[in-house]
Amino acid sequence: MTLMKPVDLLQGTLDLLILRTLELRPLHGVGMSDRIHQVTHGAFLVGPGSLFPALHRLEEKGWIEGKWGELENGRRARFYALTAAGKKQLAIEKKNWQKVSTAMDQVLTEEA
Amino acid sequence: MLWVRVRHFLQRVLHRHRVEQELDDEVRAYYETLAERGMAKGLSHDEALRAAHLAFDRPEQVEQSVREIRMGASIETIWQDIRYAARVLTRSPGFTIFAVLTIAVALGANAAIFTLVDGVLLKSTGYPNADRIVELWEKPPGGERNGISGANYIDWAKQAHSFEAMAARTGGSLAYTGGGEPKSLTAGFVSAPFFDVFGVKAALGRTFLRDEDQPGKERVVVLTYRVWSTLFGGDRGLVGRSILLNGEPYTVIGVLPGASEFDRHYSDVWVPLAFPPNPARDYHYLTAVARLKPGVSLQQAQAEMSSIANGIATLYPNIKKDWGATVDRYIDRLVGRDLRLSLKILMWAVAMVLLIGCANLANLLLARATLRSREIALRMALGARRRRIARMLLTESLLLSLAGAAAGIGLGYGLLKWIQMLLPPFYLPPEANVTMDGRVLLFLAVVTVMTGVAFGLAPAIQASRRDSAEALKEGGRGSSASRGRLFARHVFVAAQVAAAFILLVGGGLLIRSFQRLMSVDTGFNAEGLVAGYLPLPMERNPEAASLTRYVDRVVEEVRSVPGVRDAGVASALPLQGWGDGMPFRMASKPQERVGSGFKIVTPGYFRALGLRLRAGRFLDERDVAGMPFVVVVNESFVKRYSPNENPLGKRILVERILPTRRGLGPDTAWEIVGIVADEKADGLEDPMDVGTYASFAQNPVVGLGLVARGSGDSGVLIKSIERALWRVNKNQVLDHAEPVAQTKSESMMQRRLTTSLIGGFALLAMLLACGGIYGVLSFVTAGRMPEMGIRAAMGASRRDLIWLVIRGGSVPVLAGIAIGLGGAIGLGRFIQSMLFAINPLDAPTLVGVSLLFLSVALAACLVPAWRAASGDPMSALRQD
Repeated sequence: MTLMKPVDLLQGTLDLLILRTLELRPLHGVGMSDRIHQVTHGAFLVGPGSLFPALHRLEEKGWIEGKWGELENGRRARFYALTAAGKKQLAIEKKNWQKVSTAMDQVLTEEA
Repeated sequence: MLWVRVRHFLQRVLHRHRVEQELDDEVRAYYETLAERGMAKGLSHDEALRAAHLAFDRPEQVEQSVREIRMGASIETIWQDIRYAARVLTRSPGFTIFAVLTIAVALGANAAIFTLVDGVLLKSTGYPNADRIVELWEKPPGGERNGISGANYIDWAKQAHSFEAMAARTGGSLAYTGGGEPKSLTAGFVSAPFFDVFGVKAALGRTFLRDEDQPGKERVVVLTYRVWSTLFGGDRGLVGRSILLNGEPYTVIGVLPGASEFDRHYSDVWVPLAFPPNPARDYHYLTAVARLKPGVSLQQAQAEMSSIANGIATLYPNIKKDWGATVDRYIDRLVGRDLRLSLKILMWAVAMVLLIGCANLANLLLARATLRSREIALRMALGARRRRIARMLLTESLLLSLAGAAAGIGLGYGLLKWIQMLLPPFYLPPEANVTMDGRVLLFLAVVTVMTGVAFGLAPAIQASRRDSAEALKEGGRGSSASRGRLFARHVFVAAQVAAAFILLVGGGLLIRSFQRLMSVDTGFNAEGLVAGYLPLPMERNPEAASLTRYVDRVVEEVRSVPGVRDAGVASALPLQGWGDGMPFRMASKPQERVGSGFKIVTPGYFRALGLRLRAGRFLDERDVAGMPFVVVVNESFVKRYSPNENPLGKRILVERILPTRRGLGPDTAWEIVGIVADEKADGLEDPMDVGTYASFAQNPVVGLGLVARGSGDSGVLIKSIERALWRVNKNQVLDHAEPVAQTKSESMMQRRLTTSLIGGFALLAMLLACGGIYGVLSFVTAGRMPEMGIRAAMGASRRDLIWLVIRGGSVPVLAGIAIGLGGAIGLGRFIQSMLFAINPLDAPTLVGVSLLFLSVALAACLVPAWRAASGDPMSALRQD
């Protein structure tokens, strides 16, 4: 397992990861870290130092919205959900990513 | 998205603490959850938390980076926009300079006029509970407001219960004879409670005690800060000491606050007004102010005063029959009707200039946005959102209006200083505090932002609505798709033309009024004529014989001054009213009381002024005490009271004025011996100026002025007259001495100022509107170059092409002028009372303004038309 440090993640990539993670249901901070970790089979470990700034940046842009809620153990936590604008943005970012990734694949396979 | 951002921003600003607390809670909750997992593995809470801190950044660091993101997100993009806008604007310096100048001029004019309007009309006075201060008047039969007689005032003050304080006031001057040449001070003579009425306390010492207006206690004086700091060098030890005024010692008891209403008042010093034992009830020389008791309404006070006046009328039916009292709220009467109207018109004018400027810039920016549509389309294709583009354009216009505002403040300040310099001293009410303060800057800030949004919004909306693909195809030419927008642009032009036209008509009417006024015959020759007030040493208790002797010596001495051709004294100076208005009866109709101005003069007054004799004779050296009483009347008098018969030899019955000028003496029959052409006494704009001249030797009074006609420099003349006066009495002053020509021009100054300002603003509006015509037409013809090329290729002559462009351009201009003509009719009603001897629908003005406008507009059309027609048809066709 390669541990990719958060700093190595491109900002756009982290945004896309978060938006995609929230596509299914609202999540709180630890929930998101866990889920990204789980879905990428441990490839990405997103710690609080990059998660929180990203969350607030996305909220600032109006793509996600945070609301206080309760965890199973009764602790208060902030749950984030995609907004309508966020859903649109996710679609755009997905398309962009596919373009980039296809292009990168082409470049890399050509070189090989 | 913008809304979300604004909401977040506001939340952060308004609920700083809560937002911070929530961030802390959120981050800590994250770590606690991690710690709980550690505890599940058997660690203690602290150990688990420490492990979480070690594995990741510390919570404080996380919070800090969130804060930085929040700050950065807003500032970063705004900064980006500003930098980009500045870059775009510097890339087209011509446009930028034109736009900034337009805004600077429009905002500068608004800043200056708003400062005036704010100072004079809007800002509340500094007096505590100013709405409880009232002004009191006697109400004569058939009139509303008249001065108050001494006896009536005393009765009012005794009987009225509606007021906390009541004070009478009258003016005069006192000669300060502290050292060297005597200096004349303008004095307000007021009842002791005067300062309590206004709620004003002395800055140093005290104001009057309630009994200091009783005879014997009245030798005290309150100085204005202005006089204290200049004439007395700001000496704090002056309070309690005594100074010589008119040769008598007065104790200085206090100094009023500086930079206050009282520092802007024309009175230099204030002294108590003490009444003699039996003041007259038939001579009205006082005004009065009072402060309502808390809870007493204006109506209640009016009712009480009316009933008191009723009682007086019953007691003294032969002089007070049908007289009442009028109570006015003081602040309602501060600003005269003319000044209020002038300021309102000026404010409308500058607002119009601003609107025209905005329409102009909106048009220019629309054109630019169309020219830039390729750039904008490219940005959108690259992923810029519409809102971002709109914001970018709005930032540009706001940046323009900010730069304009910065320059405008400078221009406005200059304009304001110029206006203040031209206004005669003490022209504005002392309550008007005219300064460019925070209020004005706030107004300017709001107007600046509104301006920026107003002219930036249309292009921004248009840009954000555009279909990028179409714009790219269109290639920035904007042909067919902009037809609808072309109509909008023509509407803008028509509106500008209409507004500018209305302003120009207003300016034209005022200029014509001013010309008419300039040519009004004052009835006297102002050349070489100087005049000043002559406060006499016996002002307080004059006696007829010594008064006449003193004045004779004064006139003799002044006439002997080399260069002085003639001199005289009068109870009122030229263009400064009649001095007294007297009720009188024609001897032939003794039942009918009528009125006339009543000026008491020495014979030299007629000669010095050069009044023109129409019939009979002037008053002369024969008309002294002991000889038959005679008067000279003016032509207005004859027109009104003796229109069909020769008045010479007829008698009028008028009471003589007592030498103190505080009461009336015996009823006297005066024979009319002469008729003179009207001397305009009440100002140039009054068409009927009924007046009578009586001989000083037959009715000597105090409160005089001196007139003298001489040659050479008027300043030198005044100096030599003053030296002549000192030969009679070393303490004799000549107060407010100035050339009568200056009095005349000062009497027209407000009109001159309003006229030149409106005229200037109107010309500015016209130039802006024509700039707008030029801009739109240039843009339209640039887009039509290929079409022109085709027309030229098909055989259209150059003249055909020029005509084609001008015809297109003239449609909105003509429409605008037509609307403007309609508006000018409405405007005429609005400014009618400001016009002098001119019809609001004055044909020469309307035709002249239309022709002027049409020719300037034609010039604005001609340049682009010429350019279009001179283009090479082939290159125009090849353009794409």
